[in-house]
Amino acid sequence: MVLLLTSDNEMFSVAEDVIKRSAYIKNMLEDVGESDLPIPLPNVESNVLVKILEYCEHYRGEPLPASDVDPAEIGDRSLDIADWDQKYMAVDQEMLFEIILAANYLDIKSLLDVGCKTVAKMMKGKSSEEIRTLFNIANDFTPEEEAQIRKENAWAECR
Amino acid sequence: MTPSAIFHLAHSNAVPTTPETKQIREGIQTLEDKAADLRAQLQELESQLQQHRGILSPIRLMPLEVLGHIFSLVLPDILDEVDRTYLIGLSLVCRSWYEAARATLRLWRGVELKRYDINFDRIMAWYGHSGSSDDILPKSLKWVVTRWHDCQGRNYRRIPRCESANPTLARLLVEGPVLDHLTIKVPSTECYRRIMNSIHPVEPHLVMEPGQSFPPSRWASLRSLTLGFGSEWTENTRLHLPLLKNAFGDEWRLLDAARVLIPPAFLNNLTTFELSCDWTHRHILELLQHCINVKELVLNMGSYAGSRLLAIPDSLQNLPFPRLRTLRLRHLRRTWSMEMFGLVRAPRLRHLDISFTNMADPSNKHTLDLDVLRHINWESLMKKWEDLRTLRIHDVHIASDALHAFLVNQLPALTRLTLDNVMFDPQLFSYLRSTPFLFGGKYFPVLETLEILNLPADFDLTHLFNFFRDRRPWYKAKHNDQTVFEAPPDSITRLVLTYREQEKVSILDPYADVLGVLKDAGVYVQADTRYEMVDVM
Repeated sequence: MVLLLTSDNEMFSVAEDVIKRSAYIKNMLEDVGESDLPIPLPNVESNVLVKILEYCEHYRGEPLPASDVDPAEIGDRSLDIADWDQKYMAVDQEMLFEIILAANYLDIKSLLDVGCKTVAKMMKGKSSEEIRTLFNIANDFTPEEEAQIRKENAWAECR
Repeated sequence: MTPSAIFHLAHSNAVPTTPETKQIREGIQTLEDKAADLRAQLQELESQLQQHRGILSPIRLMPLEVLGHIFSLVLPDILDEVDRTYLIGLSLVCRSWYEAARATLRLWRGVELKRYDINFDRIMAWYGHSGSSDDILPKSLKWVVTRWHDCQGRNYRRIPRCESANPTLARLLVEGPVLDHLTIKVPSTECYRRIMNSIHPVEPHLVMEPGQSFPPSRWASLRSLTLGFGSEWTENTRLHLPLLKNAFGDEWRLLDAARVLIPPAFLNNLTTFELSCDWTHRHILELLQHCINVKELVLNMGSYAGSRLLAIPDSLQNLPFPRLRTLRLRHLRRTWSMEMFGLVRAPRLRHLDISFTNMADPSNKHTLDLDVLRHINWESLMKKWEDLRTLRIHDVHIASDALHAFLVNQLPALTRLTLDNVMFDPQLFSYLRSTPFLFGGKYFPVLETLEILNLPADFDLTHLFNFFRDRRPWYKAKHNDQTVFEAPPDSITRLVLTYREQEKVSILDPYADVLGVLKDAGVYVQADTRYEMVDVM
């Protein structure tokens, strides 16, 4: 079993073959060897770790993806998401982004990819303004800056 | 008017007096004003709430590379006008998104151009976002002219003149970025000739004659070239020739004189080459003979290919591909496939992917039988045929004994076997259990992944599961009903089964027990109707 300590000081005891889906933890276990000390996860809160572990548990036993392969580079650009993953990702926006951040931090490529695909599907086809509203993002460009970017790329846009 | 003042009116049906009516109207106005004020306050509070939530939103913490990955998921490799507009829109969401888009170099590496008023400097600036040096990222250019026009210069009044040959395109091909992938889609082969002619003054060697020597050029960097003509265009990568009947009409005799002129230096440079055409003639072999550095070769002969390769001279009887690792033969028909297998020499071949044309239908008379398949001469195709790692067979009906004979004793190093939309007798797996194996031990001793895709609903899985049981026998312990394995873990760790019809996945329900045992044995079983096959070739 592996002990994990979240940022809000909650301790989790997790089976090694479950958490090894995280390349970060896997490498740490390989480097440090067996230890009774918990692995601190200062960037992950307990409610997010619970979700992450749910994912790892579901895919327990499935072969790990090659760690050095970037899906975007091998042409895996489809936005299809497996049924279970879709249900898993049916969370509020805050949790969705927390999962992505945690997957990125823990280096769980398949989960990061599912999270990114979920966000990609949400924003596909939307205008800048619609995306700002959707994700609650402030427009921090000045009108002049915005106009300049548009001017530079005017040739490239639809007429 | 206070509530107590109107109490007697509100709780009766009495008609208000004129002064009362006036006062009540004023009261209504006051209340409406207050309600509007409160609504405005609520709106303001909700806006502030959103702002506060926005400040704490984890999207602000999203690293640029993760944002860039999301952007690359919503955009294709080569951006047309609509995609470019969308990318600019993403950049304009906020500063950090702008930075993420700029930092994701691959978003800027491919451009599709359709307009004639294109500006060389602007396009170069766009490509510049994908890295300042030519060798940072492979770059792509796609030139698409779909508008029908007068290519022959006949000066028809209603038809515009051909604009396929654009001076900026010519300049891009000569002075532009070092390209890895070039696609030219024009209405006709005549348009293509005009493009070549427009480039000719600055790049004379682009109109190519075999045997000519070629100075270094932007073209020499190309790893793939796609040509598309008119309605026959498909989004195939690589060289796509027009259909024979489109190119030559009824003038079949022209075919003998025709040549596809591509410089050997260009072909020598290719590492990936896909050739799509139905020209069953020596020109094709003449092209292929120069692809000596190709690592992946795709020959798509189209569903029209029905005839034999014609007039193959002795010099082309052996086509050596010393570095070829992946060979994909598409839309094969029996005669053609056997002839190509006879010509190709690929000593380093590791991955073979063969698909046929509409041959999965059992009523199709083109069922592959033993006589056809056994003519595949593995020893001439590969120096060490037992080195093949992956094999995919697609879209064919194979006679019951033929697939067995094809697989038996041939493939000891196979790690992945895919039978996709292949009609075959399920007893194949029983044959594999019972036939002696040349190399000792079991069949496919290092097979890791077995994919049987697009199965018919009535496919009997018993033989398959017995095949697994034979590789790692098991029994149920009497005292606790636990599965006890009598052999070490088998090499196969992944079994994928898909059915043609969605509801048919329930067919696997009766096999729940054996599926559970396989899971315990370390075999990941995936049974679904949807399956994205990851191409490891």
